[in-house]
Amino acid sequence: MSLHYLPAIVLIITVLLSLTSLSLKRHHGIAYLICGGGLLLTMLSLFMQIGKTGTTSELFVFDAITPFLSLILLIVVSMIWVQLYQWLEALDERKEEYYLLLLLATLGSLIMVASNHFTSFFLGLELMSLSFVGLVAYSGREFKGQEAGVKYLILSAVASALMLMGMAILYLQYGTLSFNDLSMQGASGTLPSWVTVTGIIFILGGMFFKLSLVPCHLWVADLFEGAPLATSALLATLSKLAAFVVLWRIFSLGEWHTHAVIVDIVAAVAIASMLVGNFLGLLQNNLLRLLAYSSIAHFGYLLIILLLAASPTTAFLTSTFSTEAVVFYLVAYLFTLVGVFSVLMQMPQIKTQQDLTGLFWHKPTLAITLALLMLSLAGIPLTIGFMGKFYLVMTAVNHQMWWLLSALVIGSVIGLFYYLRVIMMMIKAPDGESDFSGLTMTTNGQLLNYLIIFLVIGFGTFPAAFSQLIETLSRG
Amino acid sequence: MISIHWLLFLSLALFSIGVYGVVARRNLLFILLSLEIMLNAVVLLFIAGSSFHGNPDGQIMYLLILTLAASEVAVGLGLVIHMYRQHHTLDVDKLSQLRG
Amino acid sequence: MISTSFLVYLIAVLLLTMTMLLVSHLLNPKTGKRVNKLPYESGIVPSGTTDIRWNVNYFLVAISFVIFDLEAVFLYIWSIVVMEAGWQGFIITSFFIFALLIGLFYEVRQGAFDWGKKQGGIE
Repeated sequence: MSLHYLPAIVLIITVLLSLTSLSLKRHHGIAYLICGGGLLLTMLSLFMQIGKTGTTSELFVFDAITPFLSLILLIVVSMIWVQLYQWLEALDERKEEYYLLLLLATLGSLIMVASNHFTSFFLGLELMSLSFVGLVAYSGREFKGQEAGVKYLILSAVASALMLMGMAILYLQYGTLSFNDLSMQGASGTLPSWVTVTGIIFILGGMFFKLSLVPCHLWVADLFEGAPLATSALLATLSKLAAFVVLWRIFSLGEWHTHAVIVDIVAAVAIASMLVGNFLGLLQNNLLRLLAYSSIAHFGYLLIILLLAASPTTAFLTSTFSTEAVVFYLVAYLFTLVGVFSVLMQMPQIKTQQDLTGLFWHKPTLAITLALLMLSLAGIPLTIGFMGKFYLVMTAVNHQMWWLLSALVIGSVIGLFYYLRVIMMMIKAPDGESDFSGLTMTTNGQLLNYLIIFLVIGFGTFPAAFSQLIETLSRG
Repeated sequence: MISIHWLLFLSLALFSIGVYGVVARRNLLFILLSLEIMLNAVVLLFIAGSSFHGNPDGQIMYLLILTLAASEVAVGLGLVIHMYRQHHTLDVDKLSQLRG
Repeated sequence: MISTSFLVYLIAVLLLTMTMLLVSHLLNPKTGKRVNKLPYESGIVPSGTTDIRWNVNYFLVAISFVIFDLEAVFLYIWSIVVMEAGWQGFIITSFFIFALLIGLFYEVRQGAFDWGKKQGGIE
């Protein structure tokens, strides 16, 4: 037992502790504090590992990047946790179990981020998805919540069955489940190579479900609208980050870019996601659905990274540059998205863009925060989103992927239109129909807004410090 | 000894039956049953691979998938009970409030 | 190819079963008693209908049974290698059971096993 397992152990103990306290005495405050304490301790134990030498065991890998990504995950969860107390108080349900499921989902994603073996990946994935079913269907008395729960249960089960089928085929082919051995036995399988390609397609299909990329994107908008707001925030950040990290790891370790069919499929999916996601977002009036479509487009941009190894490089940059680009883009996107959701959680009655009319003249702080976040999502300079996209474009230019680049540019231009429309709505003079009197600002919320502004603008204006940190991490 | 190809085809066929069931059935209970068929197809392939390569990893995966299937059914049945209590139907086509 | 003995065996099986069915059909008395339509339950006369409503708590217990039943599979694996796994295995397994115990405790306190009460169970 080395220090590397400490975060997961802390989380498990927190889960057991909160389960015990739930059975002894139900109290919302106690559950909230236990959850927060557990998250804090986990963050501390992760923080101790940053910069330490990593190890690789049979099931898990702890290199330089893993604790950093886990820490980012924990920060995102804690930013949602800060607002959870107030948001749950307004909910007409039992409140304490939400924290339990939240902790379990976090544990699952931590396992996934560090997984180095199909077994640990599968266990983490299922722990996360099954907790998410509970989180999505949490307000089960509402028709919409229940519908979203059933949809998520069926779709995530199908996705994991697809992934398992892929794993089984690869296992039959190579006789191993470890990620490391996938590349070593690249050529010598027991069955012809089309079987390998089939297995990879199965795994990719499941992953596309989890990341809601284009052929499998239809569920995400329904889910964002139907699920409780905090759950949507977690789904958009936690589950997608963990799934993408694993996909990235398998893709590079298994050297899947050597199969031409796979490269074609991924490129097609990436282009389709960028265009379809942004185009559907253009037609959308509901804010949550808009975010769902924008997340489809953003993960389409990220898929470019997977294809880097397949294309010729002009190599004026180092090989760690693509790692830097992924991490920077993920962090930028996650912080922006969690910011948007926490602003939305502060004004629960706002559903559509029309509801935002004239928000700037009533609640300037909220409106400015939301406007900055929208600019960051669109990738306007001086925000963190711009830096993320800048890195991505740099790597893509370096590897001369002109098709993907042109799709990225077209997608971004379409996207710009609807992000700016949200801002326009807020600046418009109030028409008297929108009622913001019910909005009360809490200290927690205010502080969080300032923190978000600081992060988005600070890292957008002075990205050097942050990128240097990531660079040293990805070298070490 | 039959060729390993046949096992692959058998498993893929079972999997397709499961997928068809998920897509075509409208009753939530039958969808859950079809999911079980899909998982069992996967399990078959894992066991086949395990005995083919003589390595126990596939059998461990089998146990883990068994656990997954049980917990999935548990969560699914919870939702089934909830849905039946409220709507007195298990027809998933009735769940169509969320439209963009 | 298919051997001759297999063919003979196949024909013999078909002939025998067909003869048995035919003979019993010809010999049985054709009395249309009401009891004949009922399912055969080892000679015991069935009573009541199977179309009864189950208490919803039954499903909760059934779900719990499925889950706890499966955990026994993991204990079975451990029991094969109990000597090789040593104290470390013992401690890990104890932790596993301890976690299950807390889960069970939670279920009991939630009232998942309160039979017959009007407002037991979840909700």
